[in-house]
This record gives sequence, structure tokens and C-alpha cells, in this order.
Amino acid sequence: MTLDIVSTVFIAGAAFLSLAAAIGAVRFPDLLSRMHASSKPQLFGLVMVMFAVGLQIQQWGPVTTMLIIVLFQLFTVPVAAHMIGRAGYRTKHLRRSMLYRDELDEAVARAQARDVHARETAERKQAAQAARDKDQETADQSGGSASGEDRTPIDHDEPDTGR
Amino acid sequence: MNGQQGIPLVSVDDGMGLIAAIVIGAVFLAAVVVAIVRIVRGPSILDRMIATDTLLATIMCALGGLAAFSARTDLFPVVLVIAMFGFVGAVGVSRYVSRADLRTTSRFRRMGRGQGSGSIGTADGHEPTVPELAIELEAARRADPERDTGMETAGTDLDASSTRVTDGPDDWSQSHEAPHGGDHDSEPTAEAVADPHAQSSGAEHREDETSGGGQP
Repeated sequence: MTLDIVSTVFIAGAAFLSLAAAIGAVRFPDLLSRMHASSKPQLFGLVMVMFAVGLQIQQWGPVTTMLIIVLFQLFTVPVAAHMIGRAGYRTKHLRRSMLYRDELDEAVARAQARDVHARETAERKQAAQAARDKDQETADQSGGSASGEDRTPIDHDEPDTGR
Repeated sequence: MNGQQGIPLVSVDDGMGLIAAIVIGAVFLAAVVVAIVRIVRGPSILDRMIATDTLLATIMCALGGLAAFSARTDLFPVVLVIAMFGFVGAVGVSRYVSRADLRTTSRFRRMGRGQGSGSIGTADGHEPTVPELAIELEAARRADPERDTGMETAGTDLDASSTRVTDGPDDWSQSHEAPHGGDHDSEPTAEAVADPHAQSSGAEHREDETSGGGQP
């Protein structure tokens, strides 16, 4: 009877965490706040449910299965949250007026400056190489040069900024 | 019954257990409904993905609670599969969003159709600008202030100042200054659209926030 009451309390706690997460996902104003609200029952609610299951079904099979599920969530929830947050930052789905400090902004600016510098040096090198090739072609016109064909220019369209 | 082990918590002649099960089930149901409200409203696909994660976590907790209540052990593989699908869905959607948003905005930008016309955007009129171009432009200016960067920025908010925190209201707040045809009740801050007084007070509050946020 006591175990029943304790496990009922655990499951009720998980239920209220889920409800709080859903209400937070509706009421909070922007993406990062919603992420903060909705990540509560993903682990803590599941751990409480696992305790309830362990109290109620006192066998090793269900408890180990539930433990595997909790471990899986423990590994995958931060990864998923990181991916969503990164996509949100890249596509500007965040309200900057709600941020006290954007620590990623400085790092992004630094990486972009480095990227621009690297691209400029690469372009300069490429232009020098092209000029050298043209000189060589005019020098030996009899040699039937097909060497300019297979050198494709570097695609600058989408630089991977590493953010 | 097949799959039943241990003593089930809820039996017919156990009134308290049944009442507790019904109350907890109602709370789970309310959580699912509220999460579905956020999935329907959006406004962006990332918000929908977060709400989907919440929904899946709620379903997992509910299935675990049902397994504990009725002592069924055949629900745990379902919970595991739901966890896996939630993770794969979140990662896939976030990858898709980042790639697609960048590609469409930059392509339309290059075609000269104006800023943001090809972006995915959000339903409440908050169209993301092109952060890559803005940051890149800013970095190029920082590296060489005299050089003309060759990108036209006049008339748009593609200017590098739009990426700074301290330079006035950002594009999110600008989107609220003009009324639009989006869903007005989607955001709690949407009353700034209807009420100009609240809008001005919101602007003051924002300035206070940014000036206070500049000092750590």
C-alpha cells in the first residue's frame, strides 16, 4: 500500500512536469525559453516514472529496460537540444532583446573574419595561378593545352563557418 | 492476462487507485492537448519540433505510468522506439532547417529580389534576415574599413548593425511595429501590435533591457 502511494506520487509528478512543459512551450515568448521549458519531463519525468515502475513491478526485466530508455534519453536529449538551438541561432529564431549577453556573437565574428581572410588569400592565389597558366599557354601554343579544363574554381557560395 | 506481471495497482474494487489513475490520465491528456496547441500555432518549424519533443516526452511518461499502473511489461519497447524517433526527428528537422534557410535566403538575395523574400520565415511576420551576409559584411568592414565590400545594403536591414545587441531594436521588434495578417494571438507579446501605447512602453522597456544587458 505504501509502495502504491509512493509510485502514484511519482507518476503524478511526471504528469505535472509534462503539463508544466507543455504550458511553458505555449506561453514562453521565444525559442530558447521554450526549449528550456520543454526539456524538463524528457529526463526527470522519465526518471520518476522509472522509479514508479521499479516500485510497482519488482523484477529485473522491466527495470533494466526502463534504465536503457533513461540512458538513451540521457545521451540523446542534449544532442537534439544542441542541434535545435544551433539551427535556431543560425536562422535567427531568437529575440536578441531578451538576451543579456550573446557569447557566441564574438566567436562568430572572429570566425567570419578569419574566413574572409582565408578566402581573400585563396582568391589571390587562384588569380596568380590563372595568370601563370595563361602565360604558359601563350608560351607553348603548339602543345594543345587541355590543362585549364580540369581545374574547377573553388566554390565560394556557401562557406562552412563552423558555427 | 498476457504480459501482466506483479500486482496491478488499479483494480475495480480499489476506489482510490482508480481515482488517482483517472486524475493522472487527465493531467497527461491536458499536457498532450496543450503541446498540440503549440504544434499547430508554430510559428516556426523549430517551435513545432520542440513542441513535438514535449509531446513525445509526455507520451513516454504516460506509457510508463500506464505500465506501472496496470503492471504491463509490453509497453517498454514502445517507449524505447518513441525515444529513438524523437531524437532522429529532432536532429533531422534541425539539419534541414539550417540548410534550407541559408540556401533560399542567399539565393534570393543574390537574385536581387530583396531581403527575406525567399526565406522560410515565421508565421507572425518575423522573417529572419541573412545573418551570414550581415556578419560577413561586418567582418569585412572590420578587417578593412576603406574597402568597398560590393554588397548593397542600403534600404534593408541587412546592415551589420542589425546583428548587434546594443544598436536599437532588432528585427523581431521591428516586425511588431507594423500590423500584419499573421495570427495575432500566437505570441504573448502580440498585444503590442494592437495597442500603440503598449508598443512605445515596450520599446522603452527594451532599451532598458539592452542598456542593462551591456554591463555584465
